[in-house]
Amino acid sequence: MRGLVLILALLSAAGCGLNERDDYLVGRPCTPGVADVCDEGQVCLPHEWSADGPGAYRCRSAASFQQVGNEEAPLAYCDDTMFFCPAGLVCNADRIREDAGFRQRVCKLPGDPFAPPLDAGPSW
Amino acid sequence: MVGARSANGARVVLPGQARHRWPALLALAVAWCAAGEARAARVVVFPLDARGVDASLTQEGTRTVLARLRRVRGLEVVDPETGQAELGVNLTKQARACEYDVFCLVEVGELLQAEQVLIGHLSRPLPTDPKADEGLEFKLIVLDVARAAITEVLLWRVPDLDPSALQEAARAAVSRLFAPKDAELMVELSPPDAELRIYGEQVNLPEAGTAMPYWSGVYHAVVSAPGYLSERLRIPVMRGDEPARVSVSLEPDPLYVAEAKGPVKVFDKDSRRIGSGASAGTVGAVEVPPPSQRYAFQSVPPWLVAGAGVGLSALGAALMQSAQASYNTRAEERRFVAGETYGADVAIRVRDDSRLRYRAGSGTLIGGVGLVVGAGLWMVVDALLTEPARVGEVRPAGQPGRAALDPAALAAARRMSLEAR
Repeated sequence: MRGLVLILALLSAAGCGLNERDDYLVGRPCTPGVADVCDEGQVCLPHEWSADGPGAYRCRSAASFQQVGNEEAPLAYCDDTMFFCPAGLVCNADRIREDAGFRQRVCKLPGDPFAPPLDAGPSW
Repeated sequence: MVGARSANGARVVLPGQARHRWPALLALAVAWCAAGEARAARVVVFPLDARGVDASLTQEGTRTVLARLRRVRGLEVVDPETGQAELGVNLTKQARACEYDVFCLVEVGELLQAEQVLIGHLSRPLPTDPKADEGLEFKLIVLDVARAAITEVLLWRVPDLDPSALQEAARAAVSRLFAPKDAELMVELSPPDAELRIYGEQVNLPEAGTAMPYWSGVYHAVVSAPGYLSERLRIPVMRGDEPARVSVSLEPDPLYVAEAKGPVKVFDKDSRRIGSGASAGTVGAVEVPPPSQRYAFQSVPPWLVAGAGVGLSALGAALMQSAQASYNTRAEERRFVAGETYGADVAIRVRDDSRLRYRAGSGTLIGGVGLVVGAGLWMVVDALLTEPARVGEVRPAGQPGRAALDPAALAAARRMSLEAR
C-alpha cells in the first residue's frame, strides 16, 4: 500500500504539464531592461527606431526571424550596447528600404543575401 | 477304587467297602470341578460390521481379532466361518436381523454353546460428527450368554492411516477385553494438566513418575491441553521389566482462543486476546452470515471509494481541459499588432494561472485514479480474506477453536511466537 502511495505521489509531483508553445511570448509587447519579461532564449527588442530613438519593444526569439512562406519576418532593431540579437543571429545593416529614414542595424540570419559586405564600413 | 463285578457285569459293592464310598465321591467332585475350571471358555466372534468403510478393512480387522484371541489362554474361539457352518446362517446378517438386540444375539451364543459373544463394527463418522477428525470408530462389545447381558464395551477412535493402524488397534483391543495387564506404562506430560487419550479414550494418569500397569500392545494416542498444540503419538508398550515411557512437552498454540467463562461483554477490551478470550461471533452476540451468502466484491465501502475516485478523476480532467483552453486562447492570438496583442506581462500571468490549474487538475485526476485502484485492491484483498470463510467451517457459538489459516501462515505465526518468547 505504501508503494502505491509513493508511486501516486511521484506521478503527482511530476505532473502532466500544460501543453505549451515555445512562441507564446514572441511578438508580445515587453519592457526592455526588465528581467524575465521574455522567455529564456528570447530578447526584448525594439521594432521601431525613429529620430527619438527605439520603441515598440517586443519579445523575439531566433526562430521568429525565420521567413514563413513568402512573408518576411518582422524586423527588430539591434545595436552593440543595449539590444543584442538572440543567439544564432547577427546584428547587421538592413537592406535599403523605401520607407526607411536611415539604415539602422537589424537582427538578421547569418548569410542573409541582403546583408551588405561586412568590410563596407559603417552604413550610417 | 477297589470293586468287583457280578456275573452280569454290574458293579457290586462288597461288605466292608461301603465306608470308603464318600471320600471317593468327594474326590470325584473335586476332580470334576477342577476339570470345569480348566475348561476353556467358548467365545463366538461375529465379523466386524463395516459401516461406511471398505469391507476388506473390516475383514482384515476380524482376522486380526481372531488371531489375537487365539493367543489368549483359556479361550476357545469360534470364528465366523465355524459359527456359520454350525448354524447355517451368515452371522453378519444374523446380527443385523437381530438389530443388535442382546437377547437375540445371545441366542446365537446359546445355539453355539458359547459363554461369550464378541461383536463389533468399524464405522466412518459423519463429517458433522465433532470427533470426525479423530479417525474411524472401532467398537467391540462382549456379551455374557448366560446372563444375557453386555459385560464389556470398548469404543475407540482408530486413526484412518493405513490397515496396520487398525491391526494394531484390534490386537490391543482384544488384550484389553480378554487378557490381563502384562506391562507397565509411565507417562510424563507437560503442561501438567495435559491429557492423554489413547484411541480417543482418556487415560487416568497416576502421579508423574509413577508407572501404571497396562496391556501390552501398540497404541495410537493424542496428547492435548488447552492453549497448546496437540501431539499425536504411537506408543508401543512391550512386556518386560522396564515400563514403556512416554514423555511429551507440548508447544504453545499462538492462535489459541480460550473458551469464555461466564457472561462476556463484547468489545469491552482492546483485543480479544487480552480480554475474555471470546469473540463476539463465538458468544453469538453478532450474527455471522452463512458462508454461502458471502460473496467477494459485495462490500459497500470499497465501491464508495471507487465512486469517489471516479468523481475526482472527472473533476481533475475538467480542470486540466479548462486550463489548457485558457492557455491556447492566449497563445493563438495575433502578434505584433499594436493595441491588439496582449503584453508579455499579461500573457505570463495567464500562463502561470493555466499552469497552476492544470497541475491541480492533473493531481486531482491522479488522486482519483489512485482511489479507484486502491478500492480495487481493497476488493481483491477482501475477496481473498473472505474466501476461506466461504469454504471453511463456521464454529458453533461457545465452541473454542483456532483461527483458520493456511499451514504456511500458521508456521510463520508459530515462529513469531517462539521468537517473541
